[in-house]
Amino acid sequence: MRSYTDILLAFLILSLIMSCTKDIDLPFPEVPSEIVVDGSIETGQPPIIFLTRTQSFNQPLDPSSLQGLFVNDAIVKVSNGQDTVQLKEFCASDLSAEDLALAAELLGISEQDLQAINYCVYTDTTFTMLGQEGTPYILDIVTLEGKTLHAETKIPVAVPLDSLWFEFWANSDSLGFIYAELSDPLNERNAYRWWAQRTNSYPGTNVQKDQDYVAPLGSVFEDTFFDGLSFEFFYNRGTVVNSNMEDDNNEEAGFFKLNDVVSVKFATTTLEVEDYIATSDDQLVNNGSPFAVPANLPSNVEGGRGLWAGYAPLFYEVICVP
Amino acid sequence: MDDFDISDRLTINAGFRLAYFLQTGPFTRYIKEGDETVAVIDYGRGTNIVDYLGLEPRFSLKYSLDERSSFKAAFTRNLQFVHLASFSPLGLPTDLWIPSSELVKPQIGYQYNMGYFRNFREDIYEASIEVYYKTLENQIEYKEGEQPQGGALNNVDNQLTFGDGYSYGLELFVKRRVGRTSGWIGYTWSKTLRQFDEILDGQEFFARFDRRHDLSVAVTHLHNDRWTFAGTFVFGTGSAITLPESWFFSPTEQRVEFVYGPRNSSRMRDFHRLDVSATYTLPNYRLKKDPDTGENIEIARKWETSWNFGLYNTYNRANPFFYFIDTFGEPGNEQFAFQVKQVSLFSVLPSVTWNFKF
Repeated sequence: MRSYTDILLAFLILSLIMSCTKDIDLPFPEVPSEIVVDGSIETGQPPIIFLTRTQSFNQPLDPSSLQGLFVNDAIVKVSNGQDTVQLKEFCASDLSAEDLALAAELLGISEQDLQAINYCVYTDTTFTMLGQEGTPYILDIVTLEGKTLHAETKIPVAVPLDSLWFEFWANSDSLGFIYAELSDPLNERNAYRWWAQRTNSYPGTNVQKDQDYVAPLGSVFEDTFFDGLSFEFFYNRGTVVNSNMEDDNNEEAGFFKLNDVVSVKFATTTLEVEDYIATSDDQLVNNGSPFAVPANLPSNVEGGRGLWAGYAPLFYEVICVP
Repeated sequence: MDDFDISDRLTINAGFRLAYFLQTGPFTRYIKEGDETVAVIDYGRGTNIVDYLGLEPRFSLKYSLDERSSFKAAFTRNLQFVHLASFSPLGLPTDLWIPSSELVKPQIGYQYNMGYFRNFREDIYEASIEVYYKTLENQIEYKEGEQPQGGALNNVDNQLTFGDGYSYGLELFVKRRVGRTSGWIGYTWSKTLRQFDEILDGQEFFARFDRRHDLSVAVTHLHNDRWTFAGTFVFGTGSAITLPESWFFSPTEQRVEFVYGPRNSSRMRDFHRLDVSATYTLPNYRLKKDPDTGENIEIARKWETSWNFGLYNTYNRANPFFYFIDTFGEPGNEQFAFQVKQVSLFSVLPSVTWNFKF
């Protein structure tokens, strides 16, 4: 029996040694671009809409190319069923340093990135359309070329976490995860999303550990399996894709650290949002997986792609001490 | 199954099989409406859940045109109670076999083929040309967006969608049967399509294993009593796969999201490979000097022995095994990019084999 195992092992090792990976160029077709909505409205916040275009697969991704993807001068309106506001577009390059800092905070995108790509965003600068729980929001867009898009979402009633705390991982005495307890309302279909931001600085510096809230992979879940139950769960620390920060690339990656001060943003959302983000996570994780099927994101935007999302977030602070 | 000689020239072969499939418990059926489970049915051990009974008739005829040529035609109806569900987007041949169930009806295939067969040059060569057409009922595919791992509190077959397909093609075959150099060439042109109401709005699409061209060449040369040389060349059109056609950048999620094209609308690169080998056969005797006469005499060996020296993938073709897409850098920096990568297995691979018979 041992010899068969050895032979199998030798075969597997040989297969790995003999396999090789190389870059290839495939003849991807040029396909017509579509308008993509990347929009959300949260409790107490104005709607924020990014409008971009899809690109053929072999188009470049550098900052100047990404900058060219924003759809400008569209008529973007948001209605709550009673009132309608037309959103105003502004781009990062139009903003003063002070406004840029405000925009970075509002959008959850660093000032550096806002400037590098020159993000353009549509929002309600009059702050008359602020998100309210239990309210539907209807988005209507007409682009300069005359394309019309329509999407509907809702800010559900927020479900609070019962408690949050930090626990060490296994035998570690410095690294761990944040745990929480949630009591899910009975007989409602609820969906949730989790973000976290370390607001303390790296030792000896003034550099805040996380500039923005970061959603870990698997940040959304819904209550098919726990409707009406109270239960504990935990999250690891999310990282920005391909981050080059040291603590995202060493043994601390994915962990919160002793004495970290963490702001947790826990939002109740819709099943559509849960499905979209979960599929996006699947696409990210499964890229290259031999055990996956192609998964296009399930858009709720008529006439285009993307997501119009409603969130009811609640914020919590956790100090990472056991 | 039996042969009927209708005349000197015409032979008919006909028969049938009766196929039966039964699914029994224990089994839990989750009845879904969309993503919602609306009912759960538990079947106890040994409970009959569903059964299928089907007739598999087959019929073939051979009409001899003369001593060297004939015409053949055949019809078969086959049932298959396991189904292959392909779920790899980028080509790795990892697939799942799924048995029939209440939802997954047995596959039914009707195949019609006919061909002309002829021998040449006193039967040194034989050749044939055949055409076929096959209909495929009750085919399965994963629904758009379904992931095979998303099966908790669900049945695998709830993630499937059902449709039909058909395949047709032409096969050419030439073989040299005798002589120091023998071998054969086979070429197939074929097309396999599927149609599912829930995929691509009911438009036809290529089956995962649709292969337009398939060529095989095999040659063996007996150089002398000791050495035999052989070579095999294969060529096949790349498998049909689903690749992204476009992408968009999500500022909120700081991610690039792919937009996949229609199912199986892209192709992997073509596959081809040449394998060669040389076989040295040791004499089945050994020489021994006769102590009385001093002459060499042949003593039969107990074992027949040969050594085979092979070279797999002789010209080191990197055939695609599967593709994946790698991303680099972060949004906002110049290095942000993605690249399609191909994984290949087995570059040129020498081998030595010792064969023995006793």
